Amino acid sequence: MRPLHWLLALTLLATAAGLPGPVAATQGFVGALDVTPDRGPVGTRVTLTGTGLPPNASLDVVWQTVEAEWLQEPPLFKGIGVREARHRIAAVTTGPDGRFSTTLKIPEEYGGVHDIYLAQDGRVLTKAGFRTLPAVRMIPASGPVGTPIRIKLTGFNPAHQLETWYFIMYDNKLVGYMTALRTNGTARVTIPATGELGLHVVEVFNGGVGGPYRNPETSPLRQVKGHESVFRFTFMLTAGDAVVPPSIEAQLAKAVPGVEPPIASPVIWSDPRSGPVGTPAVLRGKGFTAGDTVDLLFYNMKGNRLSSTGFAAYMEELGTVTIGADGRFERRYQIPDHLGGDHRIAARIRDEEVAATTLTVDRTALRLPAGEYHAGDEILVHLKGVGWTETDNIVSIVYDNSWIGYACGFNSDGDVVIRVRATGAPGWHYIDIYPTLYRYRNYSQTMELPFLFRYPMLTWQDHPQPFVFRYAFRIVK
Amino acid sequence: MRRNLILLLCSGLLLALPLFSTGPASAGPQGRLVYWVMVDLVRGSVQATATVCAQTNVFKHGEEVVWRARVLDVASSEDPGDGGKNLVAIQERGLKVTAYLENGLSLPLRYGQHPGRATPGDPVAWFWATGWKIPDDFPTGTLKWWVVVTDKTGAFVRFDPIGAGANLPAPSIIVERR
Repeated sequence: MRPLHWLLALTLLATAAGLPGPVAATQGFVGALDVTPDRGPVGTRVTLTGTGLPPNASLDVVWQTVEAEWLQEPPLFKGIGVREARHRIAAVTTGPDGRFSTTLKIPEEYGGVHDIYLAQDGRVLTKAGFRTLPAVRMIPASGPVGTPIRIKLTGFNPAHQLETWYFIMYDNKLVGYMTALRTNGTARVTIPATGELGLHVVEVFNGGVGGPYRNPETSPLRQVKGHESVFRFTFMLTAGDAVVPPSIEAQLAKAVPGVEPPIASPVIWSDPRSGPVGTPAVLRGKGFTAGDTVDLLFYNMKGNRLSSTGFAAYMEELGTVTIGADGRFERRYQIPDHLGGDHRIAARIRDEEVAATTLTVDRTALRLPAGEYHAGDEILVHLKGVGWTETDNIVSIVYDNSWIGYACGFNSDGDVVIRVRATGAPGWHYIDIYPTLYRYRNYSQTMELPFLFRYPMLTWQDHPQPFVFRYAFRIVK
Repeated sequence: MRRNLILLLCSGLLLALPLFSTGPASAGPQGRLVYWVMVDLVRGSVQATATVCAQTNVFKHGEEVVWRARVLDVASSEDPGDGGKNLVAIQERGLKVTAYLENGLSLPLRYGQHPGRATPGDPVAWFWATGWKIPDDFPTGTLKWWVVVTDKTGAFVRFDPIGAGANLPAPSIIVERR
């Protein structure tokens, strides 16, 4: 039951029954709440002033917001889900005159219009709105080539498609987009400083529906006072030693140890339970009958979404083990060079699968064949463990802060070779590999989403299967 | 004691006000969809701070929220009022269109001609509409709304703002200071 409905009923009945009330109620509300200022970025300090409220009353200050998430039903991507949420952010006490005044800081979370409710014993008395505005910071403002440029945007509003997505442009080239669904409204992006010595322009544009929205001056949002749709920065690229990323091996996901399940029945587990392709691993089992022969099976997918043959699951044998006298077995293996993502590994005895576990194959980047190239040379970017679901079957590629396309790994069992031509002046250059999203078939429910597909999700931490790889190489004369 | 009494009475009143529940979207006497309903919001002319009659859900204190609704008979796909030529049919059906606000206000929509003072020969449209001037002291923030269509046969159709059901909250009215 909505609190305001309770309040309405209370008001109507109090009036109809002639019951004396401590305060007057108008428009279904008791008293009034003022928030000053009524808009600003996260962290804004506001003053709450209440009047006409019950005297000497303890009231809760409740913040109305949303919770947002990517909706997945693997292998399907189902868009975004947003639901309303409320939580108490302060408590106040009115004076004998039914007034109070307090200050508080707007929490760092999702942006947009939030209601601030005053509630007494769970009943809403009145409310006021605060609009959390987007704000962007970029640091540093100068440095040599490769300097990590950190961009932080607060106040994403996932419930409004015009306030949800922002694109980053670098010297009028599209780098990718920013989201903050899983990061509570705050996005953090790090891009390398690229190009020649001198001034470079970094711009953050409201996403609109399909790309950077270049004329915010005539947008409907212009009437939202204080709402900025574009944020502009400059970066001075200076002389000095290039900042290069760590080795590609150091950028791979860390293997997650497997833990022995605390159950006695036949059970198997992998240690680690996730990791890059080729990671040494051990498959263990316990609770089996001593002396039994066990076949170990690895399940994978095969096919693609484009041909008439489609795709299907299949399994291959990892090997056979004999159970020891203690009912256990141990089998060393390497995380298979197959599709990325979750795989079922099963133990089969006499044609019956008696136990199973899940192994996650992380996306894996290999070294570049060389560190130096001539302009026009072919650079082979080699990835393994690219997945097959609608959230992890493709990766998106950025060359010197310019989006150059995407690559798919489903049809090649996760093994992807991306051929990139070396371009640009002699010196250091950068290739970034970002996660992205492939598609959402129900377009009728997702008119705001298609532009997310295939573009680089620079806020890679926000992706359901997060990763990022950054290469650096030199072009020589 | 008094609080308990009030809460008890509240419960009784709420039971008698099914329109306040978020029940199924539509049903006729036999569970059949009787009316097709589409509603939008536009800025009225009262103390307008921007373009009048433009679709919006952001309003300032003192501005007028205007609901516009089309109600068609599903069986015939026609406006029961036949573009103003059959007002009797609306009366005979007992057709009622009402906008509800989260704070408990209800506003009956009226079937009429738009523009209201058209000169002869000008094109006009007939639909349901009503307006609500936002009081200057009305709490700022969001305000949910919905529209209900009923008739004397028991038909009941609830319209929620477009966007609800697509994994997003239904767009609310946003009330701001002037």
